[in-house]
Amino acid sequence: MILPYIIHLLIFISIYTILTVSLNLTLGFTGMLNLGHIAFFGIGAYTSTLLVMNGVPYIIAFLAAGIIAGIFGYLLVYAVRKLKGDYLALATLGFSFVMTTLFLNWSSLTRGPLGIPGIPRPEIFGFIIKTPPAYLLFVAVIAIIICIICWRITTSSFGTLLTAVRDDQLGLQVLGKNVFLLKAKAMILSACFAGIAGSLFAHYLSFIDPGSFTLTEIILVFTIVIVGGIASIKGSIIATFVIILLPELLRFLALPSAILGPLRQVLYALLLLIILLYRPRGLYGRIDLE
Amino acid sequence: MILTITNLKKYFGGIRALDGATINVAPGKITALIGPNGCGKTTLFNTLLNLEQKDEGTIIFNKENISNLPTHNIIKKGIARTFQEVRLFKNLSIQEHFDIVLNNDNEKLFKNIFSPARNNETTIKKYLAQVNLNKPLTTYAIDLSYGQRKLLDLALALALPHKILLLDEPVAGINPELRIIIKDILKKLRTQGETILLIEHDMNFVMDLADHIIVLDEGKKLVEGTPKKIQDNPHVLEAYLGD
Repeated sequence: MILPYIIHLLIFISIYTILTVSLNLTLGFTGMLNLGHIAFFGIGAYTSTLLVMNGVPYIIAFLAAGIIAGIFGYLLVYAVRKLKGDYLALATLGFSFVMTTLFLNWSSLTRGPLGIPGIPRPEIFGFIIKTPPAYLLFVAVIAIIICIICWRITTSSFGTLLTAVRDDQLGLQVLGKNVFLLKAKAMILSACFAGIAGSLFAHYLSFIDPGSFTLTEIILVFTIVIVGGIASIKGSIIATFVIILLPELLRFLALPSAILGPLRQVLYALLLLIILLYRPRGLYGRIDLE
Repeated sequence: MILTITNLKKYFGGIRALDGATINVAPGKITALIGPNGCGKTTLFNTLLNLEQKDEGTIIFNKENISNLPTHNIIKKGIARTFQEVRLFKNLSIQEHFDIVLNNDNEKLFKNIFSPARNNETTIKKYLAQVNLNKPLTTYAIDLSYGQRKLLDLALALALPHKILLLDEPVAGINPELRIIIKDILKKLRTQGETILLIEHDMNFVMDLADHIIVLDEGKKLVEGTPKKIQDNPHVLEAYLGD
């Protein structure tokens, strides 16, 4: 009885690991206060779902989820290219709201608030990833690959440039580097991985609706990144485990579900406050959130 | 002339920071740009590199019109610059700073995923030796003193492939001992054929170092010539000291 529950949690941890590590690419390493990340997650989820439900093979839908999210990543970074700090945060948050509104109101495509039920499990080369353990293996392998890619990027010379973008954009321009192109590459990759996470999320739950891609989710993902530490991949992975598992302890308290949901949000907020007050660099972060 | 700036204008609202400045820089020489505070020296550097958009004017560098190029492309044409307030990256080590400048492939995302490469220490130490900076390569920029940061900034400019060095107040705010060291470094660079355009307020430093001096006042060229000629010019004294 407990094993399926643990597998379910591990699948969620893997999906959120992709989401947080990829957010750290833009937020942590490049210093872009990007509140639009959850929109890419939603774009990936809807792209993959709609394609598969219209007869497109899963592997193509999976790749399309990443590519389409990446294209939106480029459009967003281009639109906000002259903004930074709070203004960038507001503009990217606005993008998230626009996408949620689109998911909600483009009913002919997304079924609006009714959501899309019956999303099939992935079928790759005739093999259906049906059971939860198989899905866990599938998701975990992708999460590990993405973490390795992000780790390779951030420890390479390209990663050094991203750190330099975060520290001083003008200083980097004067060393002959195209700052916009660097930010665009980081954002496209980050959005692409978030889109892939969205595809994995949709085909695991077999149901999506706009409620899965709202401000609440942005806060959760941000909390994980900040608790783990800005510009730390290891921190993001460990914090994902901690923050996904922590509210699960509440399940063992005999509380009504009407209290359980808000209590979870209170727990996230408390954790975020404690970290910001007593350990502003998070568990493994090397820099402060500015 | 390696650099020709013609009729450069830059207005900040009603303030005329540059009001038709025209200057020429000869190759292989140290040219100093001087003038009272607010005369447009740093604005000239900023508009030259398109860090601030000019309102009017033409900039010809190495026989090529670079007037409307983006900053990173202007730098790639062969212009290296330092700042009065050094702009180093506080979370990067000395080695990582040089990696930005020396690694030509660092902007290629996929190449860096599959075959990350770093520069060898010998090259970096050569540039550090050129500016007399003896610190471990793992030292973070934030852990360097102000003077050491100035030296690292200069070493990075030297490491950047360039045909001209723009130095914005290279000895501002540093101790007299380091001032002498930097002066010697610049003199040595001149003997190696470097072209330098520098902004400096320290007149003793400028008069001792520069081959040619351009005086800016109220956004345009007031006078130019050798240090001796500038020293004796009554217009220069008037611009600095008032009537």
